Amino acid sequence: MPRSCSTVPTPLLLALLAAGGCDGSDAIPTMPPSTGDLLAPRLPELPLVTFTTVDYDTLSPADGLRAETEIGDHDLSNRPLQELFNVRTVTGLAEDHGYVFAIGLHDYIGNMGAISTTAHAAFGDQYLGSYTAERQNYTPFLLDFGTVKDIWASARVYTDRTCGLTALGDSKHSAWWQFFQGRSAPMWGVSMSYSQAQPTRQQACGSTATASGGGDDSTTGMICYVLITWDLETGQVVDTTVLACTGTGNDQW
Amino acid sequence: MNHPAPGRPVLARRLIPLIALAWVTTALPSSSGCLAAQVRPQTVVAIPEVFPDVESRSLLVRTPGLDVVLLRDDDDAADALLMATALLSKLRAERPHLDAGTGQMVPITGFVITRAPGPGQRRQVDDAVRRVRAAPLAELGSVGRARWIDYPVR
Repeated sequence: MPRSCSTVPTPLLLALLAAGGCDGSDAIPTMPPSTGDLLAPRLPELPLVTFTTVDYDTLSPADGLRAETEIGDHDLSNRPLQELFNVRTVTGLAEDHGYVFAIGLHDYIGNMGAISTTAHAAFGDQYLGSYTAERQNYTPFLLDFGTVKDIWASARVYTDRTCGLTALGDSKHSAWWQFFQGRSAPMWGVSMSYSQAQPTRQQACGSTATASGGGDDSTTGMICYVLITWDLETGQVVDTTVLACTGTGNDQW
Repeated sequence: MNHPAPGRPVLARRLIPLIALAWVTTALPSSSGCLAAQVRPQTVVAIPEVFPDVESRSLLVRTPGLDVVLLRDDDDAADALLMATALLSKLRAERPHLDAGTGQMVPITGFVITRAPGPGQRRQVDDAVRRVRAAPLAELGSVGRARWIDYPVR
């Protein structure tokens, strides 16, 4: 049996290979991997996901949230046949159901309506995360007749907290005309607007009011995350849990 | 020449350990389920040269048998490790082991520490971050080259 080529000095290698004097399957001497490389765990390919993040500077409570719902009147349209009405975003707490939310809604004329609503979670002046819900409605152009329609989107942040969390929200509203659905379809008369909600705050932690679990003065932190489950073989995302904020217990410290 | 002890046959001397072993084996619960429940995944803390393209302060990646905490190399690394491991413990309590072929990616979008950990815990995470930063670079699969250490988490 030919001896392993890896033990042969390189200058003689080609000669030996030609003469069949050694097994060529491992003919190319390589540097052995470092110990770190040998022992290092191997992570699989991570799934490609997008979940909206926000330029927090735009909404930082430290900068001062506007006290009232503001409606940005940025109508870029110069045609009278599309309109946005009653644009607004509201935030709220649904603690019985375990989430805080932002809902954006508006009425519109046009056969296409779209809304993108983002709920942000904050603890004091510390931003924790955002999640965006989007919706788009289409009415066939020839069947629209210029009727007023409505559209809404609801973004949630799930939480097991009952104190300390602040829910903020904002929405982008739009309406336009389009002959048919599809990226290449001609479109005209786009109206766009923007709204921001008043923040909704849970009670402060450590108050005498009802607190969660074993008392919030024992809670040591809050963490917000998104949980994405994916198939390691196909790379397909099989489940995404929207933004959740949870307290970390004092048993960790 | 060895002689058996009086009143204690050779066969009995050899059988007693076997009988004891058989008793222990049958008395214990099913080994596959018991051991599987007790064997935690390997936990690794790593600081990659290039953090994955995910907008998050840190990232947990769980696969069958391996949990990885990916940190950004910044001033908040110790706090991020503290909170990431707390979340990992919570996720493990909910789901100790992932199904074969399933992975979980957990971008941590934000956190706030409302009460600082004790000196012991602080020393532990500071030391861990120091060790990670001092570790040699190695290939960690899809995240590329990173510095890493084993970091058991309960």
